[in-house]
Amino acid sequence: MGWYEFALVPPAGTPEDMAIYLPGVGQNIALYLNGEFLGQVGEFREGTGRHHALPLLFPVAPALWRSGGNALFVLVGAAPPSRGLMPLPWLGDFTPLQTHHRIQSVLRQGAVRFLGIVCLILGLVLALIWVKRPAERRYGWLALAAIGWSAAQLAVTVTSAPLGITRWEPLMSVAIALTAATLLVFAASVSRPRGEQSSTWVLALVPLGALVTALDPGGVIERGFAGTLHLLQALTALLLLTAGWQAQPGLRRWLLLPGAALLTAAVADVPSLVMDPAFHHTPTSLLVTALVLISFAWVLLLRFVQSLEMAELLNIDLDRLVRERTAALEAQFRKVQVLEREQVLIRERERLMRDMHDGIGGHLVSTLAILEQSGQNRDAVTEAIQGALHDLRLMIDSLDPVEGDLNAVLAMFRDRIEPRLRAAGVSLRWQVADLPQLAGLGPSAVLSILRILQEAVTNTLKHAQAREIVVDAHAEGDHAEIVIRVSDDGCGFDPDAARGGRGLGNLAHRAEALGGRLDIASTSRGTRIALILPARTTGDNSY
Amino acid sequence: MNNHRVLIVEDQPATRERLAGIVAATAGLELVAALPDFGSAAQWLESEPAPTVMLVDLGLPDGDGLDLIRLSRRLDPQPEVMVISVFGDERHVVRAIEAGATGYLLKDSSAEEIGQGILRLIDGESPISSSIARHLLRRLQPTVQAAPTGDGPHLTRREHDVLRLIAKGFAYAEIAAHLGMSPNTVTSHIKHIYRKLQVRSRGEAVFEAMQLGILESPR
Repeated sequence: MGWYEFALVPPAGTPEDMAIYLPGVGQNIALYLNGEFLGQVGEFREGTGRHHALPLLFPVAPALWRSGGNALFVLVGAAPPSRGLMPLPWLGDFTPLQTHHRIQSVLRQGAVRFLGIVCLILGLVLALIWVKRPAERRYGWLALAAIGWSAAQLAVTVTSAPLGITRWEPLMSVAIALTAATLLVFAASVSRPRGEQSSTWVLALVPLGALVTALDPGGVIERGFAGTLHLLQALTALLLLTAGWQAQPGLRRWLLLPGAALLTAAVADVPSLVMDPAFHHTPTSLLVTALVLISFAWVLLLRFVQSLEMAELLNIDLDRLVRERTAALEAQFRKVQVLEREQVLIRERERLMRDMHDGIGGHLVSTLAILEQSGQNRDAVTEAIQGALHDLRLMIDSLDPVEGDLNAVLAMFRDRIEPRLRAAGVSLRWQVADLPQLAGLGPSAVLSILRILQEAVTNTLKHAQAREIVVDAHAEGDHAEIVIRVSDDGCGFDPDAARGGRGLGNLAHRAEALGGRLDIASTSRGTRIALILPARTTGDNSY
Repeated sequence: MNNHRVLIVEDQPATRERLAGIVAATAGLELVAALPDFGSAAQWLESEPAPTVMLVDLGLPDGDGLDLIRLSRRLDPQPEVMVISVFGDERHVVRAIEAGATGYLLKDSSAEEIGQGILRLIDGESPISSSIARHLLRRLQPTVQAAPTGDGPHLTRREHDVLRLIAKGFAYAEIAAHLGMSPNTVTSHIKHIYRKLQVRSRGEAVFEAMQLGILESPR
C-alpha cells in the first residue's frame, strides 16, 4: 500500500460540479480531498480487485473545495506492488468528464464484452466445423485464436477475480499467448505451403505464459514475454501482408487489410509497451485483434457455406445429368429394340419365304407338272398334295415354341408320322431317351430337324417295303452330341448312288446348316439314317 | 341296333360330303344331318333331339364354330363335340376344348381313321397330340398339396404325369405301362383334363352346375 499526494489548484471562483476521473487502476484505490473521503474501488484485501479496464469517475461536492490549496490523497493497494497501476488523475467539469467516462466505459467494458461474446460464438462454430472435418486445420487454429481472445478479454473485464489475482492473471496470460500463437500459425498456414508445420513451435509459448506470469508478476520477465507476444503480432501481420501480396484478387483485401490493421496496432502499442510498467494491450490493439479475428472467421464461414452451396449445386447438376443420360440411354435402348424387332421380323419373313419356297411351293409346282403331263395319274397327284400338306404341317409345328426341348420336337414328329405309318401297315418302335436341353432351338432349326426326319420316313415308306421303323434318340459322348436315328428293316439302297439324288443331298445340307451331320448306312437288310447334332448349339441361335 | 347319331357342320362341300360318306359307311354311326353353316346348325340343334356326336368346323361363313360348340353344350351337355381341323394345331384345338369340345379330327385323315376316331370318342377316348399336351401343361397348374390356389383349374398329380408323358411323345400304351395303369385309365384322365379346361369362369361353372341339377334354377 502506498499514498500519493496531489496538490490541486481549482479554477477561480467557487467551482461547481467538478469531478476527478481515473482511466483505470491496477487493483485497489481510495481517494481523499482535503481529508474528506471521495470514494474507492476494490476491497483492500490481499489478491483482489482488477480495475485496469474500468474507468473511474468521482464527483466532487463544491463544499469540499478550499480557497488556496487543495490536497488530493490517493491510497493505492496492490499485491504484488508492480500490479498497482496508478494513472494520472484528471480534474475537470463534471459534465464533459462524465461523457468521457461513459464513452470509455462503453469501449472498455461493453464493447469488449460484446466482441468477446461474438468471438466466442464464432470460435465455437469454427471449432465444431473443425471437429467434424479435422483435415481442415485452419478452422481449428482460428477457433483457438478466437476462443483464446474472447477468454482473455472477458477475463479483463472481470473486476473481482474468482480465483484470486495470483491465479487469474496467469490464466489471462495463457489466453493471450494462445491467441497470439494460434493466430500466427493461422497466418503462416495461409501465407506459405508448409507454413503451418514450420510455425507450430510458437505454441510452446502458451504454457510458458502461465509460468512467466506466475513467477514474475508485473516484472521484467513478464514484460519481456509481453514484448515477445507483441513481436508475434507484428510477425503475424507481416505474414498476412506477404500472403495478401501473392493472393488472388478476390482474397487479397481479406488478407492485406487485417495485416495492415494488425501491424498498425502493433506499432502504435510500442510506446506503451516501453513506457507502461504494467503493460496491457491498448484498446485499439484489442479492438483490431477482435476485428481481424471476426473478419477471418467470417471469411472461413462464408467459404464453408459457399462450399455447401457448391456441393448442393453440384448435386442438382449431377442429378440432372444422370436423368438426362438415363433418358438418352432409354431412348437409345428403345431405338435399338425397335431395330432389333424389325430385324427379327425381316429375318423371320425371309425364313418363311425360304421355307415356303423350299417346301409347299415346290410340292405345288410338282403337282402342277404332274397334272399337265399325264392327265390321269391320280396317285401321283395325291402324293404330291399330301407332301405339300405334310410340309405345311411341319411349318406350323415348327412355330410352336419348344423352349429348347428336343423331346417335344420328336413328339410332334411322332404325332405326324404315326397315322401315315398305321395307314401303310408299318409298325413304329419308339426308343427316345430324355435329351438334354438344346440352346437356340428356334423355329428354323425345328423345321430343319422335322424335315430331315420326315424325309427319312417318307423315303422308307416309298422305297424300302419295310415292316418296322425304329426311331431312337439319345445323347452321346458325355452329352456333347445328340443322335437321332431313323432305322427300317427294308430292302435298302446304295448310298453312294443315291447321294447324287436331290433328296439325300438336301438332307445332308440341312444337317450341316444345323451345325451337325448326317450319317447314312444302308444294306439289303435295312437302312439307318442318323442325324447327329452338337448339344451346345444348332448353328441357328436366334430364331 | 342303336346307332350313334352324328351331326356334321362343315362349309366346304367336298369335305362335308366326304365326311358324310365316311359316317354313313361306318358301322355303328348314323348320319342325322350334314349342314353348311352356323344358322342352319343352330336351328337344327334347337329343334331336333341332341346328337351323340357333332363334327364342327371352326371357320363357318356366318358364325364362329366356337359359338356353335357353346350353344350345343348349353342345350345339352351330353353330345361329344369334335373339331374338324386341317392342322390339329394347338391354337385351334385348345380354344375349341375350352368352348366344350372333347376331340378333334384332321381333315385329310383316311376314312378308316376318321370313323375309328369318332367311335373311340364315343367310347370315352379323346385324342390328344404332344403339342396340345404341352400347351395344357403350361396352362393348367398342378394341384399343390391338398389346397388348390389361384382360380384356374388344377391337375391332379396323375393327370400331370399323363400330360407330361404325352408331351414327350409317348403313346397311350407306353404311358399306361410306365405309370402302372390300364390304357383305359389313361384315356379317362385325358377326358377329365378336357372337362377341367372347359369350365373356365365362375359364371360358366354356375351354369354348368344348374345344367347338372346341382343348383336350382332361379326361375
